[in-house]
Amino acid sequence: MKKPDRRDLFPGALEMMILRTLRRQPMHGYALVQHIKRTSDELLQIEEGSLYPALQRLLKDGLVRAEWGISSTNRRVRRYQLTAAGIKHLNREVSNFERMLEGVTRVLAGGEA
Amino acid sequence: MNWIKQLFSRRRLYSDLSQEIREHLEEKIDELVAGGMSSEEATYAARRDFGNAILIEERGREVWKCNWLESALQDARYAIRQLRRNPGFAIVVVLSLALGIGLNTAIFTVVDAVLLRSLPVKSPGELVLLSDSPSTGGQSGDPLIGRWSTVSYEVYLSFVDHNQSFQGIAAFRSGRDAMEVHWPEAVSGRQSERADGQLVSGNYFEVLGVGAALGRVLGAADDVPNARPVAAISHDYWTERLHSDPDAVGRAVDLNGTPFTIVGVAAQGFFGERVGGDAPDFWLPLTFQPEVMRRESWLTATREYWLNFVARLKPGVTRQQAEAVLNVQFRQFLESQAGAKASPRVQQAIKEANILLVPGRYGISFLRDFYSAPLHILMGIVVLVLLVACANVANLLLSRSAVRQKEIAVRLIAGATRGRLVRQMLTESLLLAVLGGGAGLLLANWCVHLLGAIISRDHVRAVTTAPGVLAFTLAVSVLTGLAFGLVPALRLSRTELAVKGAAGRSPSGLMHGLIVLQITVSMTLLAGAGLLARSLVNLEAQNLGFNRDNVLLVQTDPRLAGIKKEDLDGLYRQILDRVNTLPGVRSATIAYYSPMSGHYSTVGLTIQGYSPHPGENVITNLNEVAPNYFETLAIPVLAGRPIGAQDTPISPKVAVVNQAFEARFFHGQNPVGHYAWIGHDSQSPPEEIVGLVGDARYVDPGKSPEPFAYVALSQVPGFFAGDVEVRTTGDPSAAAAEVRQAIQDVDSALPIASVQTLPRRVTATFDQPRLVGKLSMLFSVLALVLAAVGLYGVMAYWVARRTQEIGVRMALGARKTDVLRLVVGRGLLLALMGAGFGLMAALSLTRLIASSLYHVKPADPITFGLVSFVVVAVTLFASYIPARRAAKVDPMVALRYE
Repeated sequence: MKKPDRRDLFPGALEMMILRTLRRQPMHGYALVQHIKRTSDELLQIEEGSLYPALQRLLKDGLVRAEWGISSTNRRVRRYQLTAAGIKHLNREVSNFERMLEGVTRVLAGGEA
Repeated sequence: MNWIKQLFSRRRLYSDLSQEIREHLEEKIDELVAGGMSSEEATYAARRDFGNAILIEERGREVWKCNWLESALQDARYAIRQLRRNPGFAIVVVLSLALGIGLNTAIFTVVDAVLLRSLPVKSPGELVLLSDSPSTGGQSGDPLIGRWSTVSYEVYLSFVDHNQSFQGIAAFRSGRDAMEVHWPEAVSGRQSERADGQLVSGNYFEVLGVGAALGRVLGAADDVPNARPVAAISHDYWTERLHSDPDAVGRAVDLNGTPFTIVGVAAQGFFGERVGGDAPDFWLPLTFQPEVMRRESWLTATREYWLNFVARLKPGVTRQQAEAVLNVQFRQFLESQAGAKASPRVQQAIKEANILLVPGRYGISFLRDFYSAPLHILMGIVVLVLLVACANVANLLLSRSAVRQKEIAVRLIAGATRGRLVRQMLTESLLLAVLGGGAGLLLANWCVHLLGAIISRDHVRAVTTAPGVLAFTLAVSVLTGLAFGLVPALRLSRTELAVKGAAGRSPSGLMHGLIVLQITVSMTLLAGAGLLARSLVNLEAQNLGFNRDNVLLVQTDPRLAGIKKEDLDGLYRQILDRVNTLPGVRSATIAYYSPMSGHYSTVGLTIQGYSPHPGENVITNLNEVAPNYFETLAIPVLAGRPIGAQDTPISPKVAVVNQAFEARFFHGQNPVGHYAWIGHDSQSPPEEIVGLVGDARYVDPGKSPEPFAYVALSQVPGFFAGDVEVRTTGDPSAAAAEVRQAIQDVDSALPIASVQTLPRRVTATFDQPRLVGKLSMLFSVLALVLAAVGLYGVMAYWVARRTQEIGVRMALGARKTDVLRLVVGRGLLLALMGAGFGLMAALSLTRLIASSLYHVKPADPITFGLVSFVVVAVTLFASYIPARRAAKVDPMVALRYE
């Protein structure tokens, strides 16, 4: 049986990227995906749809807020915005991530030497 | 957390999500189209980049679900939708289940009420009884042989004195006493009324752990010599008779001529140690036995065995340990009483004397004795009916699985896992089962009303809403749902194969197996019911040894009228003279008891010239009768003469015995002219046996007759007898009013307890086997109908699946009769297999009801042959209908089919 989706990202990575993106400015789902794809220079292969379960999780945990509105292209969109809890969570996650990345990098570097 | 709020805003959240996903796709398509793609290409690209939208939306929704309960609720909603889509299917299934579960609930309700209810007392599990036999009255014998199920007051006191194993031992008279009640202040207009009293030891309430609703219950201080006469009353008597009078305590009341003071009302719901029937109205201390019973004192009599006892085990002591200790003390006590110069016969009796303690949790229940076997039979039957219903429903589910494979395939594609699908299917089955259970409760309620009408005279409080019953129904429903749902669910979830294109295997084999099971079970049930029916016919047709037609029975109680013992003989004569002169009366007599009244007395006896085997308990049933007894009941006199007017208090004592007596003690020799000491010792003169009469059945019409002796009522001075038997020339009930009037003309104080015709009473003794016979027949027929419907369904399904094949056959020249034979042949094969297995099952299972059968062997060939014929005929008919449809298949239509 085929796996329902390829997970190129580690757990929580997508959420972190969403939060980071939303920190810059509130956005709706489609714009979020495009932004993440663009900024990663298409390096990250994410199924566009997989964003939505992640957004639901963030909504449920109260890290983001959503509101329906009208976009600049005059389209009905649901815009997501970071909450105070979301900012705190992001900071913690980013510092955790950086520490982990540092560790991983060191191990990888040591392996080469 | 705010998950409760989320639960309610869920719908909003979901619609936001799906709208958002739609908008996303539209925006992407618009952008791609703007970039130069065709709208078709753009739609495809947008969907590809997005991924499986249905699955993603589902995952998005799942985020909001907090637990398994919700997915279960979702499954339930889905199941409801499924059922609403197929209301016909749902109704058939629910009705089948309602029938199966309803019958189980109905019978269990009665089982619960009659067999499983503990006494409403403190820790009933700690209680033990000397005897749980519901028969009232004591044993007799000097000394008693074998097991003592009643004891004398003296023995009871010795147990109390040497008690080691019990927290307390309380004695009570085994049986109630009729009370003539006089209220000094006019509580009602009537002067005197009747009530029920029970003699109990002072610690009775303490041992049972029952308190008072008002005032106090009896205590140890009330049961000592020279105590003030006091009584406790039951809660029912207090509310019904005294209208819950708050001043009832301290009130004086005259009971059987002795002034008692009411000290209190027992706790509500307490009815004594006897289950079924009302609570006694009065509880009275044992010390007042002579006053209450209006006879000589039994407190000092060592040969009156009139007490049963209930005892509460000390913590950690088992019933067996207590019994062992008690028996040692018991024999020591008997030896010390008998002294060193006891005769060898007495010494032997003491050696064999023993006491058996029985669990006291459920008290003493006439109903349990009476209904235990039939209820077990009925419970077994309804469990089998439920099995048939389950098989039926499983078959319906299987036949639907073909239709549902498409739906399952869609769900599999949408990403559902196998476990999830099985859960979904089981939810549907459970929903059906619970619906069936609910409908079953309604059906059960109705059935219990019907059953209740028959056993209500025994005061069974059977309600389907009892917690035990509801739990039972729920458990049965869930088990049923799992039983019939699991196999189809597992099969359906294997539909993965079907996705690959195959149409899926036909479940025919399994379905046919289930049909054979159904026929097997129905066949077994019918065989059992047939045996019970034949047994009932035998019972009703048998010769009872007396002629029941045109006999009227009137019960009175001279003791309650305050008649003195020395006036009894005159009273009896007056009554008989009076009644005999009535027009329409052929003969009249008086006896201690009449046949089928539920009463009997057994006494020990010594027969001149008969030497008992070692350990033989020489006993006979005994009845005290007035002249014309055998003539009135039409019991044939075979030798000698009946008891007549010539037998007076001063003439030599006489007895008449029955054939069983002759066979047992005289081995076929003529007993007339022999002497016997019947129910008394050799200090007083023996009775001369003057006549031999036919065997008459007094208690259980299904049991073989026992030795029976009749003595002259006039020769037992001071004996209170109250059963007046009257043979009439016409309809006995027409004479009822006149006979009643005649008795009251003799003494207006004589209470008339009951007036009944003998045919009616005899019919009533068959109520129980008739009830069981009817119900088991009804249940078995229902099972057979279910099986036939099931067979019809399966054959119809089989025909439908083979329409094409049948078309081909017909196109190739098969005739309609060939097709008929093909289908009916298949049905017949199933029927014969079922009948064969059914015969085998019935042969082994009917042995279980052998004790309930009368003059029918458990393997009665007539019953088995008849039942096999019925089963095969019904199943043939059930497969004939689909066969006819198959024969009507138009080959052209069939070949174009699909």
